[in-house]
Amino acid sequence: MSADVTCAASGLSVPLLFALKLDVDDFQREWSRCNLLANYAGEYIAYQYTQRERAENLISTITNEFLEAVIAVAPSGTWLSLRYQQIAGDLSIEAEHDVSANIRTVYLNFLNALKREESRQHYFELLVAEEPAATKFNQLGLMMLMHDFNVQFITEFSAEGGRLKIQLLTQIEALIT
Amino acid sequence: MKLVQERYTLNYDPLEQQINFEGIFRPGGRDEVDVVVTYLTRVHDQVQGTLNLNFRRLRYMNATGMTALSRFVRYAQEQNVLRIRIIASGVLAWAECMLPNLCELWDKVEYIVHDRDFYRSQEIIENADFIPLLRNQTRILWPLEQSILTRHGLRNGMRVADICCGCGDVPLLISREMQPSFMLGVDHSGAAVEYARQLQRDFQIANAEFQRGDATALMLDDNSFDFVLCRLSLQIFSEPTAILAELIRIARPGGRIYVLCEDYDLIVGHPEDELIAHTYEQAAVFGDAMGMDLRSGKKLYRMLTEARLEAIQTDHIMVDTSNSDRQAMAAVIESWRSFSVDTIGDRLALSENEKAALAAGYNAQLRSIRSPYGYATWGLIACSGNKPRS
Repeated sequence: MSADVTCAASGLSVPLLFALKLDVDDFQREWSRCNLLANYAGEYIAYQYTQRERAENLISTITNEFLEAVIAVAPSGTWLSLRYQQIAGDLSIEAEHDVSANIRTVYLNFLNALKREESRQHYFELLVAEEPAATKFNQLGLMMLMHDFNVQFITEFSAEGGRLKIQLLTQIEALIT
Repeated sequence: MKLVQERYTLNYDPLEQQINFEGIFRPGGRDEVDVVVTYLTRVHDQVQGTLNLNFRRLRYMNATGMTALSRFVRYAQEQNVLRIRIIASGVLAWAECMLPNLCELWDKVEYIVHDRDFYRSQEIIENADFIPLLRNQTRILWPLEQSILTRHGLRNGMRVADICCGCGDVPLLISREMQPSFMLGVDHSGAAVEYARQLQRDFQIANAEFQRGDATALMLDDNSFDFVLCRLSLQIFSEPTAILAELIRIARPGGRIYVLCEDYDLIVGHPEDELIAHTYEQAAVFGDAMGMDLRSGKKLYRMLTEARLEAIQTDHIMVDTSNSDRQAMAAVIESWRSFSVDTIGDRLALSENEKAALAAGYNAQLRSIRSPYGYATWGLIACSGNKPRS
């Protein structure tokens, strides 16, 4: 699907690359679907970049890590909305999903605490952690997106609906050259 | 010693003291990481010196995969008996972003990008400025080579791969004129691959695809092509046998591997025979200094024989002033003169006298080509063989 949509922040029309509505259970039943979808997204979008292979490789890697994080915190029986857009030279990947109540606070706190200036120390702490974090979500993956891929996170949580919207902004062109 | 999982393989190569990671390494959890770490530590405990971890054919890795590597590095650090060398490919963007972090964990971890400066003339050959020379060569070579390809077994309906395809002229000509079921062109030069894709769009050729890749670590499946070409490329690499091994790997059993190299010993010209011969002798020597073997055509038969290919067949392709358009041939020689005298000459810091002596032979050859009574050749050797079925 390809269409223009209006960006809420700027009011400008931006091209929508594609949007999907996905059943969380499908991914939780078969984890490798994260890999499958990430590779599809990479190949689908990379055509617009000069160095297609490197762009595909990056988009797939970023998408996979993001999906692994989202699927781990989304409750069974819910759905995930995923949207790819180009916004002023950035690739925007936006996920909207429910968050399990038992993990909601710690997950949101973690996302809100993601700050670039502290990412190096935090990244290495997670990388060398002897045991995985007690709260099971993809902390290292999210931190890696910021530390290794310069991803910027924008989060918006609707307490009323219990749904979280996370937008990832990444400059693929800068990373591939 | 090999660890085979659904989407990735870790394979220990004792000759290189190297663990090759291949496929998609996105483990799903702690148990899978444990299996990988156990495998890595088992190899670790059996070797001395430096252990290479080769990621050049690993398409992707995730953060969980990084935790496995991090645990392994910490194990190696505790044992403190080995050095670890991480080998990545510049084609894979994830690797450049993620793998250098492992060097931060222990100072005995080294990170190298294999295909950065992996042949001496890389910067020149992979520059967009080189494309006109490639196109001029194809213009005079293709009319003679097309029938040679047929003689060597290229048929319509085949799955064909051209490795080191340059700017894509030959794969596109094969696509259009020889009707393969699928034609893949691979080159390491981003500029050449972009050029090839643009040509493909302009010509509206549907059954071809181009991708950037390292010819010594192709991201292609084993046994997946009927006919694999590598033209005018083995002579510029320092590791021609590593490329040949990849050509053989991706060819199906019974499939054909076709290589073509020029040979400066087959270049002659008349009437200024000696001047022309002297320049090509000199050019071959300067080529050696740049890591290029410009007399490699005659060595192909031996190379394919040593690789145990079967039903080996060779052919001379003699481009000359009687079978080719003189103007197009002159354009090739002008490109060579510029490449040899200016580009290589500057790179090797040749004196003005040396450059003038080199240019003299090219100029003599151009006079031969432009004179209706002159004669000049460009000699190449094509060699192909079948991949054994067992």
